[in-house]
Amino acid sequence: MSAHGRDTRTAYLFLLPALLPLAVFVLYPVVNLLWTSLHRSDILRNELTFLGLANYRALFAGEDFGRAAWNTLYYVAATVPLGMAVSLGLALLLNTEIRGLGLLRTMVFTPVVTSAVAAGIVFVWLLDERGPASALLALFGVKAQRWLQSEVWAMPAVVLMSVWKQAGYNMVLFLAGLQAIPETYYEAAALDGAGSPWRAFRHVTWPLLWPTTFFVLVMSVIQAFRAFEPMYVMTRGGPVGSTTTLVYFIFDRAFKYGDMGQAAAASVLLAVVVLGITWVQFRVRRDA
Amino acid sequence: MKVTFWHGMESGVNNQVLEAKIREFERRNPKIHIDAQVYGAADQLGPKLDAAVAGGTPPDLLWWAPAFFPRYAEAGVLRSLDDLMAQDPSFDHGDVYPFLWELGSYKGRVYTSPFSVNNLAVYYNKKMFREAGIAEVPRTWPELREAARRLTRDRVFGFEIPIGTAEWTVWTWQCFLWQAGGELLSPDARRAAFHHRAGIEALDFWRALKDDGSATFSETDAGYKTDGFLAGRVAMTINGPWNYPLLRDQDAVEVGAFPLPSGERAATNCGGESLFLFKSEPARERAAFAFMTFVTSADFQVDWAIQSGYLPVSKSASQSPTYRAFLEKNPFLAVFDEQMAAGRVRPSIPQYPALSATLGKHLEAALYGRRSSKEALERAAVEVDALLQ
Repeated sequence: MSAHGRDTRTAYLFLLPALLPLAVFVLYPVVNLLWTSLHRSDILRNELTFLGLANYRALFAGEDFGRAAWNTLYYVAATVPLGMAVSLGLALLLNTEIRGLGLLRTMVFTPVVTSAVAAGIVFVWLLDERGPASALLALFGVKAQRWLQSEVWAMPAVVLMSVWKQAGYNMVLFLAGLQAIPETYYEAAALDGAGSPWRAFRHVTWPLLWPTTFFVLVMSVIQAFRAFEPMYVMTRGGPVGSTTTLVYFIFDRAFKYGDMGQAAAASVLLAVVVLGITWVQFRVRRDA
Repeated sequence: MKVTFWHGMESGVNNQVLEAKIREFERRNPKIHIDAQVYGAADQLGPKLDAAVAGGTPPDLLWWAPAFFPRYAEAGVLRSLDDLMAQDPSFDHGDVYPFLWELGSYKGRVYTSPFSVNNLAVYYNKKMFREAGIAEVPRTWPELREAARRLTRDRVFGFEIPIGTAEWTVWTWQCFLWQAGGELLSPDARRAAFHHRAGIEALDFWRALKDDGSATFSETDAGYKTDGFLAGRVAMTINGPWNYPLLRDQDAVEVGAFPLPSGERAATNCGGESLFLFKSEPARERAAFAFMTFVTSADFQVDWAIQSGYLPVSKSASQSPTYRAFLEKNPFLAVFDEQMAAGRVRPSIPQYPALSATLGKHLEAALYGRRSSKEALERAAVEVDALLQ
């Protein structure tokens, strides 16, 4: 055996401890998921009946899957830009030297480490007809209502909670990005006439922060597609399915209807969409 | 021998009573230890139990609505009880109401043994009735509608509609379906039957209460919660006898109960919980079955009924002088006891959980005014027919 071959074998041996868990916990479930999506499968029984693509056809024939896909897009389109704007804003505000900075940053970060279930329950209470949100809005003449029981307002409420919960995490990423921009660039920009804060942001911060922004964007999109807890705790996908996003739909199919096959098919489609969007994002970035 | 026992008794008092009864059982059977664990809301148990079964770690005994057992019997994870009952001379099969054995049977075998029964009636706020000048409780749909209208005032609704897509909504709605003369399924349980005239009338009736402005929605998927009623925000709500200890120990609201109003006929949906025995090994199954025998005994049934408000499952317990004397003093519970005569049950079929989820989804769409009652029920029927094939 050549020295090269031996090296390769040694390299694989070293990789084995990492590859093995990957195979067991990632590769196998993915293959299993694909396989299950082609069968009728009940969680309680180990038997699979081959159906071909019938599960996929059933998803497209029924109205629930389309509705869930639409709700997911709504949720992603609302949480990602809003969440990024809020966290960037917070990062800019907290990227200074003021007294109590650590405390402020900790406060903004606290929702991230709070359990989603606990936070969701607090929001349910906040958004009750007799809760603080209604009381506050009443000052502006808005009629009190059960926000989470409204087909129109349930999704915005879920978005609000998600943004609040995530803002701290993305803020930390943005802060790290901001602090990596050398002070000298701002001095140079000021000398060149970009003295106003807006122009400094537009011409120095924004372009140099782009790698961070891009990372936050990709992660936020993926995370938003996978959202589940806020809907589970706050609205149970309702009312009338208005907050049933794809992951909630998958959960419903699998555990409420006991239809693992259709749930698996929907999971495959979700994975394909997320993969596709992430690929597009990377393409756009490379071309930019 | 340790026997794990999952139950969903969330009320503090009922939990204490159950714990005391378990200790009593353990004193009589020193070799058996019952490890009781609360699983939370019974409506939300499905996913948890499925995961436990799929993972090979179901409990030995499970306390749950019998409507849900056939799916597990069909999957072959439940132990049938016929031979255990035959071998145990102290198990009095004939004393239990026959409909409970019917409810607990699937394909000719008995799989569940009853723990307690209940049914649905209407709780009402007596003070609000007096203030609205309503002397007689409503007996019919029009009377209920009229009462709800008269009880509605600023920030108080006459009636509460159990909204959501979960079983509670489906369970309560079935009462009205039956009252209107309808049936959930065809007699052979192969087709939906809820989408005909009676179903539409029943759903339209709920919608009418909402449209009148005299009913509010309950918390979503939680129509069983008494919060709104006890806070004086609703005057009437549909609920069962099991809140008896809770209602007894509060003085915010003067609570009464009356039977669900009649349409073409009187009807209520009997629920209650049975014990499911999951397959394990013979010795553990026998130990778990010993607890079932204990639960079915008249002693347990009378004690349990008096302390918790659930209704007894056997004739001897129901007719025992102790229990009769207790009902004399508790007209609230007597309403539920008398209503057993109009009691009906959900079908014992494996598809019931999926059926309930499907019907619930469409009931909600109609109650939110998304679709007419007719269209919503017809859509539900198409999906339910597909499930039953």
